Amino acid sequence: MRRSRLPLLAGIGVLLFLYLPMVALVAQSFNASRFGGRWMGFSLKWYARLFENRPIWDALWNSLFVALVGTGVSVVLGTLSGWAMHRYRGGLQRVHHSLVYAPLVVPDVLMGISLLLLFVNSGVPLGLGTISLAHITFCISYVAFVVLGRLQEFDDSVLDAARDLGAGWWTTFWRVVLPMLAPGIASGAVLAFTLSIDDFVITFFVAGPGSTTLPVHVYSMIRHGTPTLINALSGLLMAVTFGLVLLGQRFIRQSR
Amino acid sequence: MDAYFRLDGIRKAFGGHEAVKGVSIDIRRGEVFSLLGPSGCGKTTLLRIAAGLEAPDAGGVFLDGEEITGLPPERRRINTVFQSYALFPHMSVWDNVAFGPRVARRAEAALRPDVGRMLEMVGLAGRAEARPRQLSGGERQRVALARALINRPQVLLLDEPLAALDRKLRQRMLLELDRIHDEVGITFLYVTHDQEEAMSLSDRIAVMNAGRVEQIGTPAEVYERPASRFVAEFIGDTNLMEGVVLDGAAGGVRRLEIPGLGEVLAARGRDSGAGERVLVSVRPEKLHVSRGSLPPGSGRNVIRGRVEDVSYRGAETRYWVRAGALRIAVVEQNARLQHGERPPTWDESVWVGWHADDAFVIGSPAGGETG
Amino acid sequence: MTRANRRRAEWLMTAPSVLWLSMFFVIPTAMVFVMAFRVPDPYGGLGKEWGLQTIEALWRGSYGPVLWRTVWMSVLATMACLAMALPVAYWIARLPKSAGRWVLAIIVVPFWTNFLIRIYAWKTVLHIEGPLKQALVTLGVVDPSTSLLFNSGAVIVVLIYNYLPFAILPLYAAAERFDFGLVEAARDLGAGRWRAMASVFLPGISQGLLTAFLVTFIPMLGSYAIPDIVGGTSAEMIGNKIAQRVFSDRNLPLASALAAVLALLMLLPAMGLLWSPRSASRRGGGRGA
Repeated sequence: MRRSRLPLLAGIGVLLFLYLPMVALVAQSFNASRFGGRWMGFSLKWYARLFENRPIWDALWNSLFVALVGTGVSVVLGTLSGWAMHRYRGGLQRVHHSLVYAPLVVPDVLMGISLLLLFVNSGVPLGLGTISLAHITFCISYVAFVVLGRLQEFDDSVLDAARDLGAGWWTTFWRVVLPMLAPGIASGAVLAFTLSIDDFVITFFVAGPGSTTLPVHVYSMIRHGTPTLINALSGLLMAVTFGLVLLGQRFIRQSR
Repeated sequence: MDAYFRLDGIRKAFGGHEAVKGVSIDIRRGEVFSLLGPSGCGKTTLLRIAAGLEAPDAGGVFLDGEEITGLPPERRRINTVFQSYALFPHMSVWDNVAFGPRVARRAEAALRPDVGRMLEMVGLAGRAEARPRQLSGGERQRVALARALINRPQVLLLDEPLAALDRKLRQRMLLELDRIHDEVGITFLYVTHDQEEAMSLSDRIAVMNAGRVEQIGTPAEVYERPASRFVAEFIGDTNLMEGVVLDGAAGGVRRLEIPGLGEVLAARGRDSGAGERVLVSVRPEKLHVSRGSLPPGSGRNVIRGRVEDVSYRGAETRYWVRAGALRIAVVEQNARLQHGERPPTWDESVWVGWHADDAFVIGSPAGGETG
Repeated sequence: MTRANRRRAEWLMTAPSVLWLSMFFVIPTAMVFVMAFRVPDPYGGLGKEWGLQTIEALWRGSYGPVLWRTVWMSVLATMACLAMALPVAYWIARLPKSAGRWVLAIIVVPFWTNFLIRIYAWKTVLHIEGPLKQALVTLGVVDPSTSLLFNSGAVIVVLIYNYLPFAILPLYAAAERFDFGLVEAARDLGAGRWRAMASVFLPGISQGLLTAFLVTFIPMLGSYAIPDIVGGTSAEMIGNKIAQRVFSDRNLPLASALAAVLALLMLLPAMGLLWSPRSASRRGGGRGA
């Protein structure tokens, strides 16, 4: 039976579709032309400008701050939540499960406006604090489900074994549960950090004046700024992302 | 009788289901005691209560004269080999075995020779650095054993430790367990559904069914003198014949009427009065089948039947003989055949005989109650 | 361990996330519906009084066309995503395992770059002087004066671009579990290639199709950044209207009413999900009989 060539062609087409805009953008970032478009020769001057641009760096620090707070808190809450969903059955866990699941399917706009209403209504000043609260909220669900997924291969009898061998609850937690959960918690943390640093829509709704994160800053650059700087920033961010992904791949392979 | 480890009137229910319905067991110091029964009979629940992993609804657990019912597992000097072994996947073999001593805050220098000796004993000295997932099933089993024994428990609980192994390995591990028991002299409480394991390893067996103990005794006792229909059928094969007692001399030979077979003698089993309906159990290997007539000595039962099926199994041959409404199983050792003798074959008319001493009267046909 | 202890441990572990999500997810979501009945205050906050003013404004504001556009653009983009993802998922599932994993990684990697930059990349491509426009003009397909940007077409393309991997992943997961021996059996029994696909492969991965549909369609309904950056006023979606009420005229009650409409819109496909397994099996049974 001859295999159809259609899936292969579709695959190649989709890969081109996914990568061409990226390539075009990176190419554009090395274009000496001020307005983009026509090729005016290779140049790194937009990258040099980027490094002199203070607001970008301020925004980056804000983003890192929010991402670290968001990841830290959501990892603790999400891990507890995933563990509870794994360990217990019954009415409480059914409610718990749907509650943790719901934020995953709600569009960002909805979550953004609802949190804004909460903060305005309760008189909380908008700023890095409200952004952090929002990020923790959407990261908990992702961490919880990543941890829960990893727990599928967790053999609960090791808990009995640890106690049987003389370990109390505390020792069991530190010497058995936490080391066994560590890979799941780590991937949950990476996901939470990525989502937090990438989030624009929710942040935009709950950010106050003077609390600009990198995506919010990128947005205002897209709306009002010079394209050349965004091109360079995009190139830089892409390089960082691909570098991190490669690094992560190598790390995963080594730990195997 | 000195009870070293005692489970007294244990009851446990989960939801509405009663898993253990009042079980009392006395285990002597240093013996291998087995809980034998089909899955769901409550033996694992009982073991978990012994370990402290479940709390009984009623009853008490006593170890060396002290009540330990409320003691959490980490404070009992009892260790367990779990069915799935429950090795810590993130630790090496060495760290798994060293877990107990480390939790007990023993100095690293002091525990090192102990761990080495344990690994030596289970034959894993060369694999100390391996991770559990790099080990074979048999090796994991040995790690689980070493990890439990290093704490010098007063009682070692084993929950179906060989169930995950293939047949060949299981037989080797049985010998190994026997050797280790002789070496450490610790009391073993062994849970299994496999009668062969229980018979070959145990000093005594408690046969369990539906949350109750049906019989406690040595392997020979539960095999030769089953206390109930359940025990007779669960341990080995047996022929069960239903009949009515004609006269029931206490302790002596009883005459029974078995419909379709006629009068039959049974010398063992529970006392029963005349007119009572009972079951008589005879193990297949206690019967003999012959083409020529069998000498009707004193206390012998001889009946006539027809061979319905023959199955040759190397060391032995198994016959199914139709006699009236009954289908009787007979096992003959082929070694007993004289040279040149032709064994009975299919559809031949034969004599089947057995001694009254090998016929065992057990409870009434309806229930599993024993006297 | 006693039952009471176990119960307490369960509560201790469940309470933190439940309390947090009640505070920052359940209550705010409920407020979206409640605040629609508040009156806006002149300073861009929420007034103290209750009233139906906002609901009237919602009616008068003629949001009908925007709603309709939101739905049809999302449906179109979702369908395109599924149509593109299906052969790709099939292709990856039939590759050797390790190769498949690589291709999957290559598909996902662009999505680790920033969301806004992925949208902005398209702005570069579709730009009036961008490469695509120039190519199309050279080929004589479009007039030099037409803009590829700021219309619903551009929005749909970028929607597809951003949600395609979310359609590929569940379809691949389903296709990977699918027993391709069934396709061979169907063809052995005389079905043509397309017939075998339609009657064996598609039903076999129906769960994956459903998931792919939901995880692309629902977020698309709530799109905001994509139409904001590559769409013009003629391609606005309901998400843009919500943002405009928040950021331009600061009418929070109206924004919250619009968000409530979006939430109800979202519930429709979710309802469909609840129904579908039963109706699907009924259909399957009907065909089998």
